[in-house]
Amino acid sequence: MTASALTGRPESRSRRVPLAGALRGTGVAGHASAVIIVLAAFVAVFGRWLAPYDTVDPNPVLAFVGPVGGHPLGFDFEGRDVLSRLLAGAQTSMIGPLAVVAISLLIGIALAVASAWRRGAVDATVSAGLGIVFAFPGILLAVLSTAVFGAGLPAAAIALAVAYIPYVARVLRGAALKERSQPYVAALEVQGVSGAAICVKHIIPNLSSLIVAQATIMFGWAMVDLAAISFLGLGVQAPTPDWGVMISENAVGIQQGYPLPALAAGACVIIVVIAFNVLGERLLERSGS
Amino acid sequence: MSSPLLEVSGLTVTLPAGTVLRDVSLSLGAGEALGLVGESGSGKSMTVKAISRLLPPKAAATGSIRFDGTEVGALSGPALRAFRSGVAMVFQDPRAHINPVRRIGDFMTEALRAQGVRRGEALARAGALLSEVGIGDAAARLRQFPHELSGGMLQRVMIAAALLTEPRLLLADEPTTALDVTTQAEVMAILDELRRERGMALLFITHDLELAAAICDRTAVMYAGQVVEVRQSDVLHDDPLHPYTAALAAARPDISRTEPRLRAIPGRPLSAFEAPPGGCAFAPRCEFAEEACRTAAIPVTELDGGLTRCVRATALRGQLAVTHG
Amino acid sequence: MTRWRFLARRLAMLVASLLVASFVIFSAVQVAPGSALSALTGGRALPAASVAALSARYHLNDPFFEQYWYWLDNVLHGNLGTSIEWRENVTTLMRSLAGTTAGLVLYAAVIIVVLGVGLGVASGLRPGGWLDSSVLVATAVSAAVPSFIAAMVLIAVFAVQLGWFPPLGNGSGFGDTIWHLTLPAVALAVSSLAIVARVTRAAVREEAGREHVQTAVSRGIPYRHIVSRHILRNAAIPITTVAGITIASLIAVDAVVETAFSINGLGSLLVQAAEDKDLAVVQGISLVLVAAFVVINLVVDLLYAVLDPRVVLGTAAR
Repeated sequence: MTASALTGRPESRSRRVPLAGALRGTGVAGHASAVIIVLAAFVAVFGRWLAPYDTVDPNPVLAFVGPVGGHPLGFDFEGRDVLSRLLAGAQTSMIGPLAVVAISLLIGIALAVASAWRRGAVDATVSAGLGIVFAFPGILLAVLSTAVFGAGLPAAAIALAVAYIPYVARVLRGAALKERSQPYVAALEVQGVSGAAICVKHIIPNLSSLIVAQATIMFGWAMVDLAAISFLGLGVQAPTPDWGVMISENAVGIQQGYPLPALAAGACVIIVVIAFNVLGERLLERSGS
Repeated sequence: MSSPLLEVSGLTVTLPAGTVLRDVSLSLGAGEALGLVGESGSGKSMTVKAISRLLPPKAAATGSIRFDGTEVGALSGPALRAFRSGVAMVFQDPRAHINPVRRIGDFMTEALRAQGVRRGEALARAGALLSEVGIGDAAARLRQFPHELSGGMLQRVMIAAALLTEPRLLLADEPTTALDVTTQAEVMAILDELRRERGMALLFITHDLELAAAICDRTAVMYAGQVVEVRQSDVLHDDPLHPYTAALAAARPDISRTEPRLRAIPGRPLSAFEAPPGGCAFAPRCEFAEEACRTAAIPVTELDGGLTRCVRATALRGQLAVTHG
Repeated sequence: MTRWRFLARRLAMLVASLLVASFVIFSAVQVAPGSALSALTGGRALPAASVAALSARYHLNDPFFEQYWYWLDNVLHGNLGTSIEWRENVTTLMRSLAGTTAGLVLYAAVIIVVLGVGLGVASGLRPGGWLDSSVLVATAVSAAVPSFIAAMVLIAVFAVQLGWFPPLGNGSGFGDTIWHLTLPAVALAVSSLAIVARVTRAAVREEAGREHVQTAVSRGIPYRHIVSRHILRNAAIPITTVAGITIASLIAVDAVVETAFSINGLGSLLVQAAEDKDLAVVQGISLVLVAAFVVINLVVDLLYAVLDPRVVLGTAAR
């Protein structure tokens, strides 16, 4: 029994995300990853203006020309500057995963906490339901939904988000259950605080470090899945510069001996995904789960 | 007197973090029970690990450990395996020390089968031993998994398994610490009875002085990686030779008396690598300490049939007796 | 809970999963913008007779759940409808491609299990060695490489540059097919292999440090028995789970790899049909893939229960 429990003020365990020193304990790799992520985000926002050359108009004469002065990565299959296309492409490559993570987290947290709070029949139903819905791999659901609603980023992103919900809900439900059985929750209940208030003001904030860690990891997965879907031609559509689209449209160059545009786009995806994976794993370790 | 079954001389063990055992010496005759008592960090578990060749890979050991006259550290191959079947070990937490995905019968007969005994016969012997330790319906138990048995039963299984190879020495590392008091008494009774029946030597590790006295002929007390006293168990409690032993005995609350305040030893127990290089490790907490205690290395003194590592032992005779008044 | 109740429960969940999945796949037609009919025709103009045939076949004038029932009934009899694009029976279309896809996934699965578990065990048993360090570095990088990018790199290096493997196509005849499918299988397996190797390594290291292994050592059990009966046997639990999950996930990623290597398989047909809005084909292939996914997950669960007796029998101490 802690002193605060005796005085009546509940002491909730502090596992909230610290704002200052948010990266503490993530090590060199974690910090380096954070830098990459921030850079990627920056380019995602300002990429189109940072791009030195035009990213849309085709220039067939220059197709697949190698790196020359001012064009460090050469030209793509339609004669456009690869570096500029990459910078501009960061936007759709990062916005899609952001939407996927946001949607699946929103719904997943709600399901997890509600189910953990109510326990009993509600919990059993939700768990069983989630177990059943787990059957749909993300990419498959995205393909299905683009067949129905037409190809494009929104349909793919929403489908992917729906496919991720069971995973988020399962992970957070476990943590929420543990949190719910903490003594401070009982103390709050006894004081007459409503279930919803306890969930929103105490349980969820105390899960925040786990949530942030999971969100980071999932961002990486979503990025890979969405790039794959765009690669298939079912997500972002050409001529929008998107890294997944760029890989697919420049793939023909590989067989002709001009691998640079496709591989450069691939490298961008890999670097950013690694950064998210590494940071996410470090955050997960630190959150103590 | 015949040579002792187990003889440890001058055992010093160092880990990268520091020294954990310092010049430890023990001897144990065949059929004899020796208790090894100490608090956490005193080095008692490490001593047992050294004897059974289970030290962590980064540990460096010097000194001598002789079992039945043979130097244990030099053993390898079939000789080492023979040693392992002659010296059996019972561990503290049975649930952690038994493979949870294999059946009890499998666990018990593993050592025998590795020696070439046929499965059927090994199981029969295991069943017989289970009955000896007081577990009924042995056949059913042998087919069960560890998670289906309670902690007390698992510990009895562990003891039975240890006895299957008919060892001459049993090392018991706090076998009852993880159990509740009633089960503890039962397991202790079984250990004692089996030991006497088989004429087996027993090295019994515990932090409880009285528990050791209950079944061991002699008791050795360890502090900060050294043996500070070895004495006949029946006199150790009331007539200790070393101030630490006296303090330990006095600190244990006696159910039959009322005291105004629990007697604790001031300070906290030191582990071996916190001990100062020169002088007695217990000196900072000892009410009888003098200048001589803090400087020179303390030799072992023989006194009244026991051994003690205290320079003032002779001077303190009679003053260390635990008085109840 | 006995083994049979556990099995029954899992099977019930399997059936429920399949039903829900089939319902979602079926509803795709209904929730499509426009009418169900326009979804089925993919917006194409068809002669009236064909339209009537479609309406009758899908019972489009009947209530929703009756439509579902007829559709499900057809599916269970192996009748998956007709492709609008190819004018052929969906089942026929799929049958000829199923072998290639199954072969590719199996090939990748073998690579994952043999190499992933093998490397993981080897490095887990000798922590700190040169193999251990190399495995750690290699897997850290390759775990993040998505299959389609791995495909591009493999084509660039091994097909175009070195010419050791063909860059695309199915190949004909057994040996030729294996040769054609090697790069795709590797692309499919790369990131999963890395994950399996890491988890295996971690599991082996953890089990090697457990107290029950100490007990076995203290009893003089030979090292090879300790490794096989205690370390590997116990590590098999998390290893099987992770291997099973990654292999199951291959089913979805397979579509991407088939497209990257221009392989004619169920996956590439699925993508093509999605672009063409050939819903019957999309539904048919989705059903099969989801069913495969669910079945693999069930097998993993059952294996887990077999390997870990604590799961089925519960943890009641007597």
